[in-house]
Amino acid sequence: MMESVKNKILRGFATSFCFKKVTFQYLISALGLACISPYSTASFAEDIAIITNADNANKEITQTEAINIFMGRYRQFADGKAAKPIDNIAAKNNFYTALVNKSPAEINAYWARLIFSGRTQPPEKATNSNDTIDSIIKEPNAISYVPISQLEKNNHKIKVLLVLEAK
Amino acid sequence: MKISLRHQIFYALLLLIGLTHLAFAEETASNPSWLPDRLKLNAFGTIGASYHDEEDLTYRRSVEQPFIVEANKIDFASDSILGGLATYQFNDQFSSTLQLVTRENAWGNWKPRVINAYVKYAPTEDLQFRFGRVPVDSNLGVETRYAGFAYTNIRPAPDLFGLLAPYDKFDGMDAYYRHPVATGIGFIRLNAGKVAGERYVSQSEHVKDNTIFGILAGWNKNNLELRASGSVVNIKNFNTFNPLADNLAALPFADAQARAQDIYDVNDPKINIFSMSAEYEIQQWKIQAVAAKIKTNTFPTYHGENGVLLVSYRAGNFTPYAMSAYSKLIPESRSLNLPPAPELAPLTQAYADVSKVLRIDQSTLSVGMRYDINEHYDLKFQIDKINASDSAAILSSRPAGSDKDLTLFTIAVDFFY
Repeated sequence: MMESVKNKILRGFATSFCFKKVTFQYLISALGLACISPYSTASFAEDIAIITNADNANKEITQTEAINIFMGRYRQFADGKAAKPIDNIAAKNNFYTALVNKSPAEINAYWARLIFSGRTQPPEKATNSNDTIDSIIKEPNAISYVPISQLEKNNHKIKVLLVLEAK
Repeated sequence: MKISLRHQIFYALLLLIGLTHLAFAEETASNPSWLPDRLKLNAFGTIGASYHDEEDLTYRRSVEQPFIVEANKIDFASDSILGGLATYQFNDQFSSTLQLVTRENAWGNWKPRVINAYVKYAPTEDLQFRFGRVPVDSNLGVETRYAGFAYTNIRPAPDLFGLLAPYDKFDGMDAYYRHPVATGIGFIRLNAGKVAGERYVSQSEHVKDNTIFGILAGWNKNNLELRASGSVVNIKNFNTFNPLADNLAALPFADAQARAQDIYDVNDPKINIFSMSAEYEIQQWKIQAVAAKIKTNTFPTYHGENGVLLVSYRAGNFTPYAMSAYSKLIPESRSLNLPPAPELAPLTQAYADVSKVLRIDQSTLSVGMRYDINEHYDLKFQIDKINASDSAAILSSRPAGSDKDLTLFTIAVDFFY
């Protein structure tokens, strides 16, 4: 998709410079607006498991504690250890819908507020569920989420703290 | 075809949005490849166009800008803005943040300004200290009022944020403590330092060297946030109208000398500000309310109050909303009763002018729609019905106290990466 956007812009420049029929304003407007693409289609929603390292002393968390950790309000487990949240980009939209019933735009607007307040930063990111689980295995205080179907039943290096129902 | 400066700026902003989009591209697991992992960059901007047809009135959203939205002309400068935020994380405890913003300022140009530049030390999850030019978050929304994507409506209510003190720069330190309290998270912040800003009244000017001490306390849980704050601003270089007092004191009338003494008595001018705010979300509904009170011991003394109520309903990518806001700032001074001699008339008039040098009585009813194009862009449309008899937002040749009502139409695109 990005490639096609870039092509559109390059085509716009080429048209402008070669034929000089496109005005400056039109070109710039097209450049700006061509970059704004609507939402991609939503992925299939399934239950989401919030996971941590098997060595983490905490056995479960409440949904309120999960909200505090992932929404940057208070990043600490019940045992007092610092929590290091990781967003699994592949499951992010479904996760935040299940956690706080917010769309991706609302989540981004929420983080815009918090980032400018200077209090905290959004969670680190992992590309997909495999990378997410790898990150969890490396860091005892890491906490993230994966679709429940992608949990490896024989993986004893992670544990499930909470399961959120899909919305 | 000749393109006006404002249109050039508008198209330049549009170009920058496109370039920003290309630079940040799709969301990936980490920063763009050209960025070090410890450096986080955010970019934000708004392109807005405003219009009204009320002859003889010129509108602005903030005293930080000149009066710019003229009748029957589409204005691109009032709400358009471009900004960037860079945060470098040295280690788990130390980080540094820089925020730059460019928009039309009190001098009518687009010179970038440093809004935030501070070092943060966070020894624990509970405790943070910041030094430098730090954000002030005394009200909901005040710390993000430049980033349109962060809030529902087109602009944070000018009745609350735009008409009074242009204190958008706070240089000093703050200490912030948060901890679980009663199933939620409680927080408290103390700040002390100097506040500064810029404004256009009869001319463009810097407002600086005023000191501030503030306290903020709040609590949040899931879909509820509450805040209460109090601040005291000590005004330096306050014009005490001493020449007027000298003239009054020289008159052989007790009333004139008493009024002169009122002016001389302002030795330690202060502005006291107290505010409370709340935000609550239930299902698709979101309600935000802010109320503030202001009191000064300047000459004249001022009593003021502001309030904002914003209600929105999210339906998919669409969020219709309605907002009601008002602002009152009433000067209070004792009347001057001099004999009706012609030679005293200029002095009587000067005293009357000074006594009501600033007065605000404005209310705004707004309805609008936000459409989230994707997670980085939104499109908003808003209609503001502004009722004002006196306002720092509206320039008019009409007499003080007469109606200066207008209906403002605005469309805007916001982005945030």
